[in-house]
Amino acid sequence: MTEGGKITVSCVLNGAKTDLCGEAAQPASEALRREGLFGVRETCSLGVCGTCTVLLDGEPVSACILPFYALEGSEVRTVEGLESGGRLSALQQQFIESQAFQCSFCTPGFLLSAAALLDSTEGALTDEQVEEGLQGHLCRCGCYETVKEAVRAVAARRHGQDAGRGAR
Amino acid sequence: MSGTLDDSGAADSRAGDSRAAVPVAVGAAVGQSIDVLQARSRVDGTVEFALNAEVPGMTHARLLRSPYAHARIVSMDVSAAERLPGVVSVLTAADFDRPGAPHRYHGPVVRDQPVVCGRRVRFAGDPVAAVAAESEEIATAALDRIEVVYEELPRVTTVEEAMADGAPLVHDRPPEVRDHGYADVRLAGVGGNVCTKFQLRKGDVDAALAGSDVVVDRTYHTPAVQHVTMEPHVVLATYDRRACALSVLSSTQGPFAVRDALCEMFRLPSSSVRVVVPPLGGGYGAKTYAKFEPVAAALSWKAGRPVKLVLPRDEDFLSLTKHAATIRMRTGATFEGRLVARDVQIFFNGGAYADISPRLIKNGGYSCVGPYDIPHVRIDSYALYTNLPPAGAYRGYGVSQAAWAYEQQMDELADVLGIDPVELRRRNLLVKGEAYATGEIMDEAHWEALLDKAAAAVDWSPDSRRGTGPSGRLRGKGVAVILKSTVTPSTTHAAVRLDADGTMQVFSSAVEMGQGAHTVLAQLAADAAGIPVANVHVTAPDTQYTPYDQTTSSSRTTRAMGGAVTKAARVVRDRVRRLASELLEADPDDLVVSGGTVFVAGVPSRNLSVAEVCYRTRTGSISGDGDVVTSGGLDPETGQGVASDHWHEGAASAEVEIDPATGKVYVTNLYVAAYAGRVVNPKLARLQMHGSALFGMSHALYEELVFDNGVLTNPNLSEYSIVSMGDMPRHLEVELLEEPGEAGIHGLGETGLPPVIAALGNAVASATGARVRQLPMTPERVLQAMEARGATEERDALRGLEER
Repeated sequence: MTEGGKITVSCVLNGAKTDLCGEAAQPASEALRREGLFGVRETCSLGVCGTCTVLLDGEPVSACILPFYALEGSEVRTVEGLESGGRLSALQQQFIESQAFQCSFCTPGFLLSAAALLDSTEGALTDEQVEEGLQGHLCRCGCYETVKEAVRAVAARRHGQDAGRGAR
Repeated sequence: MSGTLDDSGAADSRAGDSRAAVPVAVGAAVGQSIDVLQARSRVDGTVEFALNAEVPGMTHARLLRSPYAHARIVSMDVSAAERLPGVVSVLTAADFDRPGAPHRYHGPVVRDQPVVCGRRVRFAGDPVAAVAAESEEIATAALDRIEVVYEELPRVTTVEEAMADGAPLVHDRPPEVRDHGYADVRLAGVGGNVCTKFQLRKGDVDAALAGSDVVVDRTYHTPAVQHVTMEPHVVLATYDRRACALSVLSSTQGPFAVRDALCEMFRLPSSSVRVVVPPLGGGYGAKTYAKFEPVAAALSWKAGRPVKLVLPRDEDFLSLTKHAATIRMRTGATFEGRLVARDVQIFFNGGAYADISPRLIKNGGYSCVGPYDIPHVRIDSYALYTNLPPAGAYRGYGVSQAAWAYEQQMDELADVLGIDPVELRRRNLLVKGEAYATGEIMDEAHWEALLDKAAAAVDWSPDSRRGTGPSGRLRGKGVAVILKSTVTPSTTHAAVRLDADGTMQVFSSAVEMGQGAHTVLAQLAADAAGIPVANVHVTAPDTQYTPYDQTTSSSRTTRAMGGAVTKAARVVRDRVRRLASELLEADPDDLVVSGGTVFVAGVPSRNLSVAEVCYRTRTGSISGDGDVVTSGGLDPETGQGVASDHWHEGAASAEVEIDPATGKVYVTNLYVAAYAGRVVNPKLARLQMHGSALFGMSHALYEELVFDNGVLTNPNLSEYSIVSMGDMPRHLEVELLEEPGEAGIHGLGETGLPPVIAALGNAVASATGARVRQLPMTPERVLQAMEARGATEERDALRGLEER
């Protein structure tokens, strides 16, 4: 739908059906920030640093190079949508415990890609799997080690629970 | 107060000095890995970065920048930009000629940096105009409508060019020195393109070098690199014309440095300039001193509306850099491996404006001695003006450059002497009670322990330094030890307020930029006051309310601000004891405050909660102040005196594998250790070390700003590489040395960075037998060094044949 150079896109944003208005070619990151989703942050504006990552139909994408119109009909998840019922996800909680951030500007992107990685894999994760899954994310403060610890801890706990269930 | 600080210049006796930092012990909060304050906001996207700030009537700013490294502005026409619908205001140099206009120049030491350029641009990226518009898009469109005619001028971009006879001058006139500058910064040797010079003289270097058994004479290079904070510079400035007051929200590490710069620029009292600082998305030195606050404030002054400026990434790359440096270093030693003399000329490329170069090149200069006892030392350290973006504070603060040179030189000397590099260092490390080259006595010295740990971490042995790994990869190990000063003298104040319910506000101007400053301050305040850490709230810096602090940099906050907060909280605790004394029928000195409860020592059943004490004594709140004010200073002729209130001590070791076909360096093992004295929060401290390690690795292997005719060619994260998760060492370990009982806190923000670069340099040289003296150690440079070594060996072999 277009109106005065602007278009309206319909999407499921953090679980809620939402109509967003914006210019077709503008970066999705800007449109989402205008919605008050300040967890979407731009750093490189080139799609190489991962900071602005959102999940589009469950897949991590760089919102800074994603045109606004591409949100049409998709399920969009930002870091604001990782918690449920006001409770942080296990991954978010583990990021705090493992201190997987310093300035935390890049953290939403890491969290979303890690969430996608955890969703798309089963069982425990190796360092290599985490590195591969989070490859497109830069953290200048240097928290890669604790990010890996956090993601692996969540995966291991989940694995433990799965194994526990299997035994029963 | 306008940045005027203690200028005693005299060596102080720190013992018993009421203004010194305070030692602390492990307690209920101190020494515990508690979660950071407001942890939830860090993982749910709700941290209030400056980037999110909005106020009614806000306009959006963009800067027009010079495409030339050095040029005369022949003419400028902004009328078409002003006519563009949605443009609110266009700021140019001409606006500063109006009566009552602010000063057009600023700078923390000398006023040499124009808010917008007038007749001349001095680097490619120098702002020539600023636009405020209803949207960022309109502001951007307006930039294209500004017509500027330039006439290019001859430029200097390297230190060699800057020093050449008849070199074009970056600044024609001597810079205007700021009235109330920093006590430790003195200009010397100003002239030509020399911004300033620092020198250190100890003993008779020429005679000592002549008498040395061996002398190693090498030149080392490190490039300009950028901080690449994930959050760019953000400023929201509001100039209130009716009140003649300025309010600025900024992503700065130096709220008071910014306030003072704006006070001077607008000729306003400090009560009329308010600087508020939300959490920063990274600092690393990039956001020290006024940067873009002056232009945003001036634009708001002209526009009469609030102005928000968010630097695009490519412009953030032009905001400030680490100094490129060329270091010629000669070190003389005896055959037994005793260092005798060191002679250094170190040239820092300061770029177009002085910024904080005059302090940085001083620190980088005297640091060239390293943690060693060298009887004869001569150091000449220069900051040179060039037509490049300004260089300034950067995590490591000159020590990265110095240590890159001296720790490589130690290995080169070891090879010449045939002594194991670890052993050579051990024979020369400073020990407690010895004097540094500045003459100050080292009250602490832990380098030997740090070196031993670093060597052990890579299973160091003289014959295991090099080897061959899988698929023919070359393996090598390297170590490095460093010392780093902290800004001295410096001043920090803090205040706390205990409220009647037993909770506490800490009023501090320490900037939270991810290092965890506010969390450790809460921990220190809690233990000092005797209340649970959950009861402590730490304010964000707000120059209207929070007490003065010199800067959040120089690895000083946990010690200096932590000390000030500890003292302030102890004042409150003592007041609580006095109030409780009558209620508990005990002498105040016999009362203990702990966990929010006051009790009689040895009789914990005789107790009252802090809240109850306040209630029963009709006390609404209890306030306390504290400060840490250090003194020191160096003689401008000899460099003798007190360079640093205390010293940071670090060491690193590395193991690398190198593909001999490509020259690519793989870091397999990286270890970093620092002396901490007392760790306030282990998990945060560990991350400071990780950060330093990865910055060091990134500088060693990847980062370099590349200029073509003075124009930066890689101002983006696709062409400028920083370390990523996939580059991580296979094994990364960090370690912190602590003392039992009460111990002084030593900052950890930077200590691990310089030794990592040098250790990697030494590991690469061990692996290949070829030394790369120019950072970063790219595959090309590694291959070049190996080829040069090969050629040398071939030549030597041929010569050997001929001689036979």
